[in-house]
Amino acid sequence: MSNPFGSMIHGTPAMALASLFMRDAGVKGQKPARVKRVLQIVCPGAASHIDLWDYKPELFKRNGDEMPGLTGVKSFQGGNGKIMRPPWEFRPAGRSGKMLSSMLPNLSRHADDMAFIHSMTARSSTHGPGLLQINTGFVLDGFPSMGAWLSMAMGNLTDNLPTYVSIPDVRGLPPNGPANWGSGFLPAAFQGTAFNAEKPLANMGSGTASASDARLRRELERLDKHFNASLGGDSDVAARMKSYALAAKMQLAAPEATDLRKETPATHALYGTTSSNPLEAAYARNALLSRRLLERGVRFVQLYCGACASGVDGLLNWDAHKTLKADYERHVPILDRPTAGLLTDMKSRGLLDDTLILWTTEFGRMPTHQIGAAGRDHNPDAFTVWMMGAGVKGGTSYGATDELGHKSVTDVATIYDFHATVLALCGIDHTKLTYYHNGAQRRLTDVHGHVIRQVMQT
Amino acid sequence: MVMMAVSALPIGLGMLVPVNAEQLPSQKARKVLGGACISCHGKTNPAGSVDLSTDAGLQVAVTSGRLERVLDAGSMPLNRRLTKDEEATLRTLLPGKSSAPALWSLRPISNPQVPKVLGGKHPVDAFILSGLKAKGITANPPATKVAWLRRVTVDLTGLPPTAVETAAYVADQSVTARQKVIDRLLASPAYGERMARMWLDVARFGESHGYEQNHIRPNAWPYRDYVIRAFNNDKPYSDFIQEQLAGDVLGKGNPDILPATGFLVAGIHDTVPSQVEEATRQQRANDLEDIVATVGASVMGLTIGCARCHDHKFDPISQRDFYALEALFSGVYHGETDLPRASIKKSEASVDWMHKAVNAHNQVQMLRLVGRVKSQGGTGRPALNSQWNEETFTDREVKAIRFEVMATNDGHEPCIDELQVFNGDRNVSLASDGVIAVPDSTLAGFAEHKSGHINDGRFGNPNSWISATKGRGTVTLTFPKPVMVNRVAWSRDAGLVPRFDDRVPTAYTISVSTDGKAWETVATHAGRIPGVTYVHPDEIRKSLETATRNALDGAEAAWKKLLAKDPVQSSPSAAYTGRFTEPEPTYLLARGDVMQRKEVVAPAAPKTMEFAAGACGLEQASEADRRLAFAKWLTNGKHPTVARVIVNRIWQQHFGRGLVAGPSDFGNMGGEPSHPALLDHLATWFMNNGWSVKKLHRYILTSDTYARSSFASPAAMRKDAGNVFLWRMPVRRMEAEMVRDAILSTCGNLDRTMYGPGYRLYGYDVVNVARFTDIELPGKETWRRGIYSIAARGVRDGFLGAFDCPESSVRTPKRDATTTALQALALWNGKFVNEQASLVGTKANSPLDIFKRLMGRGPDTVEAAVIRDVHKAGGNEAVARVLLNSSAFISY
Repeated sequence: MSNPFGSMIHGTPAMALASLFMRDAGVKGQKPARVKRVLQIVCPGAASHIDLWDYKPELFKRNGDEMPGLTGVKSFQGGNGKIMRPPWEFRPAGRSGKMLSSMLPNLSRHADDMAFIHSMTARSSTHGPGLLQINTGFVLDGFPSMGAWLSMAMGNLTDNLPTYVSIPDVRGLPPNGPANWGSGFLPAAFQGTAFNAEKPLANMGSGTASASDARLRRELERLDKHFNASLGGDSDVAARMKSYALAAKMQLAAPEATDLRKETPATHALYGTTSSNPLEAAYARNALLSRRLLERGVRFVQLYCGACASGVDGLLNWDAHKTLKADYERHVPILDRPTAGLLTDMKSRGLLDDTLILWTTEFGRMPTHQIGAAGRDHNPDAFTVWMMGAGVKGGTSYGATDELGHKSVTDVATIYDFHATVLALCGIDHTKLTYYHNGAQRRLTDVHGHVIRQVMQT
Repeated sequence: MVMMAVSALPIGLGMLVPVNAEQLPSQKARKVLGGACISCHGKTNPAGSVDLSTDAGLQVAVTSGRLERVLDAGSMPLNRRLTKDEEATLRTLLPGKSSAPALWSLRPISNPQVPKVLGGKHPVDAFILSGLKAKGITANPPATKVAWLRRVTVDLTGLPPTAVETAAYVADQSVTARQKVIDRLLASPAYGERMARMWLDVARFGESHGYEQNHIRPNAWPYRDYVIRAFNNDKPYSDFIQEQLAGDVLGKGNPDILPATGFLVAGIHDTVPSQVEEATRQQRANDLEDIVATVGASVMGLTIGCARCHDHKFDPISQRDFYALEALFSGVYHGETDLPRASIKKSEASVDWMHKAVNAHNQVQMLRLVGRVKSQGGTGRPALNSQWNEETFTDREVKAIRFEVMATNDGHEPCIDELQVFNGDRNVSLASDGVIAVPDSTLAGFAEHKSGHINDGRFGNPNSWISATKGRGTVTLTFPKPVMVNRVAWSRDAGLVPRFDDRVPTAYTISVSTDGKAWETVATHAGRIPGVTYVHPDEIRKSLETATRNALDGAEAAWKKLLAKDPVQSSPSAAYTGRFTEPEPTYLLARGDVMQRKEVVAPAAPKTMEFAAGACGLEQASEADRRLAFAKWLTNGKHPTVARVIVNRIWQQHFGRGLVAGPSDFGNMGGEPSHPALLDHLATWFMNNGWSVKKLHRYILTSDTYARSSFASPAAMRKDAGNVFLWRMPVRRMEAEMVRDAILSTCGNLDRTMYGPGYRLYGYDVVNVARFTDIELPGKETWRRGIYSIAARGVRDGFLGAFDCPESSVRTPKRDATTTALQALALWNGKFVNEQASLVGTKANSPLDIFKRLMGRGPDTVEAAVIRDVHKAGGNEAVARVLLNSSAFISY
């Protein structure tokens, strides 16, 4: 039985859980949600839709041509040059023949399970606010992340691990850092706990049940019981005592959960943890860690592939302004094999039956190159995200951009729509998941959002 | 009130049937509705689905309170204001109410009679006991003296009492014993630090900008110090509010008051300029909403920010009210102002420090140059680099020196971190010595790259200058009087760890002049080994011979030590106060859309408050005077919410829960007061006592209500488990900073240095955007109180965050108090706690000694047995660890 208050044992979140879940609200024809857990893969830096997922033959045909209608239009860094084709060919993938970049040989094998939303739009063309929007729904600081909302709404599946874990890239934190997994104005109990395969969960002590540790815990309990008796039985003190009992369990369970040595060589090979490319190996270890955490009951895992901006655009994340080809030949292999390995592994273990997987980035990139450079500028008017797993209609492509991938034109989708859909897949009505803060009943989707039924199984 | 039955028939204009049985709508009312409302709220597609052309529709508008709210707010019609006569006419449609606002908090503050109750000698007790009596609940007896002392000490200072303090109070049998303790605590400097935390939460004070770049705001802290001092000096709350809204007028020339307006701009601010008009307007609109919403919530207790896009859904605040307030603040921009205290820069100590620091830096760079030259191939003079280049020439006495750049390594505008001129080893070119640097151009829009940085004696990219011309730029240094010079050194990024090697000058001419007119060239780039080489300092260090390497290590240590003692950094030369200008016109924005400007809105106070507070005339000529007039109106003693809101915040501080549960929301969503008469009594008392916050504490804390025991008596629990009626005192878990402060102070390691720049509990560097990293175990410089921790937006320290320390991007009128396993792990296994436990364990001479230090009292028999057993199992350190984790330690 999950605890509706997540990993918070005690506290006073002013929320209305009544009729939050669609199944409780009795929506006719709505099957109970299958989603028990969520994995969100995040590629910060604005991973290019037209070079990875959104096949635009016109870009190849019109490579080097003037971009119509772009005269005088400035994007984030200023002027734009001619149309620039993706550096690599696209190839049909899966039974559906979905055209995907040939740089993604491994992920392409999962094309039939993926549901693409090609018509995404964002409200900011700046990385920090953009990433905040895909993660919290708002471009401003201070709002709870999707994982925090879901932790509050869905509660925890295990007492042994945090409900919500964020796994930053070995190269560093994404733009705006921990705000991407913060709880904003929700109680701190719902914030993501950040650690990765290189830097394990903090405060786990020696990770063993030493006799003296257990002894001291018993003495602490004695003190607290005594104090509580003097108060006539206080609920806060009782909750603290319980929190120490849970902490003791977590202290034992967490090191086991994060110990990748328990995996077989075949599994390691599947993810690529022993790759000669140290960055691919590092991301692969984080991917493998994700699976172990999800399997053990972490409700929401956020997995980063890429860090924040560096002095050189596109070096540490997907922000390829100047040298797209070189940048993506660095980044795509880091993403491709380990992520595909993770999907394969999850599927073979049956985890996809109740896990929702999301691939996200903050916005897209221009069809043109930047003046004097061989990279693309920011484009908030078009980008792609995809979903797979529980409740998702695989092999779907929803929405479309124009022939050059410049603007979303068919079934234009917003980040609100994306979030509404994620919540719907989790069985939650996005208009009902609210929290009172400073005068307003706040929502992940603000006052917007339409569920994209087309990517959901009926 | 009896409402008339609803007729099902829709009716047309002029056929309105009465909606109020007692007061039939006159011909006149029909006329007003027809003239002012029906054009939008008519039969065909009525706006907001409010159809005032049918009796049913009108009735809904009346019974839902919507008509009244609109009239209270003066928000309709959209194209004009109703005349007084029209408004009065429409009010006749309302069900027989006076024109007093419907919302309780907007009605005038009353001075209710104190109820006569047994045991209610103190008015606070009288109000509380009469409430309890009505519910048939028996109040708890007093708490023990020890419990009361811990409660009041933590409550007023944020720090737990010492064993000495406890013993002294227990021994004091005088009738004024409590009074004496309260006075002692209110006089303690720790009091202001505790109160500042409360107010800075409300004011969403943080020390970074937020958004994309999220750079640290180096001069935000003077506002924090202003708040601490205001509470410690018991500045009347009315002055406190006036200064925060208009300190630039009230405190002209006064460095103690000027930082107060930091309140207005304490929130997030986007520092990335945009090329797009809509984005630029949006940024400005976001800043202004942040200001308006904060003033509304923190001072007035109303969620005015909700009306940015539409009339408030629950409260009588119209969208026009929002923009009228925005107009009032539209001359306020984010930014710093120099404080008169800038003279510190010229103080002898400061000038002396600057020379030492520059000299220490130069030692480091010259030693690094040794390594760089060693690793360099080719023949000729050392290649240029980003960190340290120099030219020497024969002695000359000059009035000015000129550094002209003709080319850079990448063709971009040249960047100069620091340009230094020497006579031997003595730097003679520092701005602090009166040398003026004038460049021929400066790249616009970057605070970190400006002419003032050329000779400021501060190093690294954020303290540099960039020309506005590609590949070229000239800087002229003019000396206050002729000086002997023979050497010039310059750099592009001379930070401890340089990051930038772009924009490096590769062709230059250095000239000197005795009169600023005729110039003589003394050096050029000729003969340099070509190319600009970047070598990481670590690599340089490795390549050095032992003796040089040791010298470099020593020089780096000396430099860092000096940097930590920067006198300018520790005394504010500037403060983040906002910048004030005459404003551009403010437009009402349709649905809050910055591209949909409607009519110009004049500055005005929310109309609905004028019923109680009187008119707030804002006809003053300047925007600053208007802000001041508004602030005076807020604190005129008649304003309905200002005193109630602060009194309620203080009550919440002492009882864990306000008399109004939503401390920054006195609207319909915040809940009605549990004890309305007490709230008004306190507000009136507070204003009658000179808005003195300290007197208010004393008044509340001397009550029996505050002294009750926390025991959960079963009979009372059955009737009021939530303790809304205050039959007992709640036991509270300390707030995040209190936990940390209490650990440091009881373990004997709290550094009580007050004021000045804070410390960081995270690593920080800037590569265009700020990067924050975890620190395993923060050093001793962080052993100050939590109030001095630099809160960066979006960054929560693992320890403080686990205890609900809020994210500083948002206003936090009330902290959560959650209990989680991660919290337990942070206390049980965290390095910080265990380090402190170990330190106090070493210092203390017995388990009993540790108990007294940590708990501020002696143990009872059970506690004594436990610490004896723990000591047997793990010694002193284990005793400290267990006690620091105990609920008795963390509660008050």
